[in-house]
Amino acid sequence: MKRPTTPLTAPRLLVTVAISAVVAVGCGLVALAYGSSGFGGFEVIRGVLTGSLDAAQEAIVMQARLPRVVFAAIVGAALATSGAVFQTVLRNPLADPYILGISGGAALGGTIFMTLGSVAVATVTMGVPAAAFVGALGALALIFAVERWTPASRASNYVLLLTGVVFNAFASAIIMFLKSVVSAQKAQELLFYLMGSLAVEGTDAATIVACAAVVLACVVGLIWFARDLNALSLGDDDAAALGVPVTQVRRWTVGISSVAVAVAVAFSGLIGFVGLVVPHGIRLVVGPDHRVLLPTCALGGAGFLIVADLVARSAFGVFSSTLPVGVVTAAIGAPLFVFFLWRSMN
Amino acid sequence: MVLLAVLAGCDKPSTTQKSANQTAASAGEGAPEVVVTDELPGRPERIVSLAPNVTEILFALDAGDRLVGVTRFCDYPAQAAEIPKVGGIVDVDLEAILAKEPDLVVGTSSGADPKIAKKLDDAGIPYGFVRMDNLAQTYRGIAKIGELVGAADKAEALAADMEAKMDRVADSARDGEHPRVLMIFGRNPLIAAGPGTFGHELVELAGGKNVLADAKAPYPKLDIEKVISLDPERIIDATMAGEGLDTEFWNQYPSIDAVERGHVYLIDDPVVLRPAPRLVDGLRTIREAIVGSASARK
Repeated sequence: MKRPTTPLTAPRLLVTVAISAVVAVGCGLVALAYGSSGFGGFEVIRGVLTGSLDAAQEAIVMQARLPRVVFAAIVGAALATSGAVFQTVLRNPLADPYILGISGGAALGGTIFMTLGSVAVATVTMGVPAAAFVGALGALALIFAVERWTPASRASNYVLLLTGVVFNAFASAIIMFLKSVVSAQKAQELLFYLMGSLAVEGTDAATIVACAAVVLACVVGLIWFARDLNALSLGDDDAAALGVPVTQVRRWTVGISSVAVAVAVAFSGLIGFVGLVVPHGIRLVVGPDHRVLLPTCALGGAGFLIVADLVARSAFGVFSSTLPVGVVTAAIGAPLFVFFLWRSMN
Repeated sequence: MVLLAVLAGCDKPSTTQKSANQTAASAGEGAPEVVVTDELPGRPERIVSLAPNVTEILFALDAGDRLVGVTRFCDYPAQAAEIPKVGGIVDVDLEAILAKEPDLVVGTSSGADPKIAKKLDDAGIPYGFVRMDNLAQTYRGIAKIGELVGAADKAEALAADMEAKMDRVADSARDGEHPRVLMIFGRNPLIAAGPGTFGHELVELAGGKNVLADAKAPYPKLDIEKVISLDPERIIDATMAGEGLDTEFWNQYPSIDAVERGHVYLIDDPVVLRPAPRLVDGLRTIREAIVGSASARK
């Protein structure tokens, strides 16, 4: 990440962001037009434009597809933007919300809540995300505690990553324990939750809007720090020499990113590789300048997850089963991960 | 996995009753329907049951008082809960079994730990594993379990009585309407009854047409879009209690025929799908739902 940044001009920024926005919206439209039922393609577009959809078709577009597309966009944007920030702040190309333990913390929180269980559906739909959010904040608190306790040095980033890895192992041990003592039905639910799914049936519009607002605020907040992040990617000493308050910037950006991740993971479970693959891919295209990288990552992540979820939903025809989207992102992401690893070693 | 484990497997109604000696009981296609040891006690006095439906059958055969160990999923009848536990369905604790010094272990082969038969062989404990993956196998299985515990006549009668009752409900359902039915086992994710499951068999016997009769998987996972496009006329929601037994979830999708016309039925006792004599009650409940009887509605 030490290569010189291409000079950023306002038109270049606008054009890049506009192109990504068009791509993301395009992904959204395609995802609205197809799904697990036969109803799709131009029929949908014509129906929506002329208002000639029957009740079932309208329900499919408005109640089945639209919430998922919107949610995929929110979650994808949160994960990809946070991933880009984590990679810069920790100066490690393999950093993402997973490896830091934030996703693990959220999963643990959600799992504990699902296990202890509440009876009413309404409590489950709100309670699990709330518990997951608390779990993610717990993991975040741990990260900050470790950061405070570690003497500032190059090694401190490795300490953070290791803490994340160890915390994840710990979280998954507890999750496995809980899975082994709950009922069969609960275990099945947990498994699905942990595999990551954008099935948001039963989540009301207000909740989705609230999530979107929080994630949007987080993305804007991170873009606010874009210049500082650029400085940080030169190295702590250089950044400090440029007058950037390194510790504070690091704390704020990790904090904001974690809030975004917590919101996303709380509702969708663990969706891997978006925070890792998308930032790397985008960086190859637009370069490492965070002023353009972060907004493009948000849009790119949204588009990527929308398409991945479209694949997951459409899989019914092939497998007679809707796949959890985490399976799709992992299938695309794992080979790319290896590729980036190989590239970073050369 | 209890329900899935008990019900899973493929269901080619096999007409021959195979018996294999000293082979590991393994689930899956082509696995023998009955696996028993050479030496069986005439009338075992200390029985361990490795499946909830086996426990139910043993109680129905008045052999419940001879049970010295059951799984932690054995919850019916109420007395079963007081019997010491020897583990789950796939995670049987061999040591707990040995400690009970049983003279017979009875289980279902599907979903059972495939190594358990080998371990029991080594320990010299007689056992019998009986596959009950569909109705036909269930009738035969009840008779076989009766043989194993020395209650053959009673078991024959029990199985015959069960079959007669099932047939009576099925007969009454043969004529008349055959609404399109979706049977749900879980909402999160939405898991439904596909071909080869007890749910499917019961729905069809009760006069319904399973909307997923052509699905490739026995337990397909659906998204709500699929449900809307299948547009079932009846939804039988056997989601286990704990997820909330109310129709609020379904009411969000009024474009589904079953929802619009108020034909969503909640069954809060999923053990009606256990291959045991209580299946008759399960079939009657499903029949009421298919008829659209108000008493089945909740």
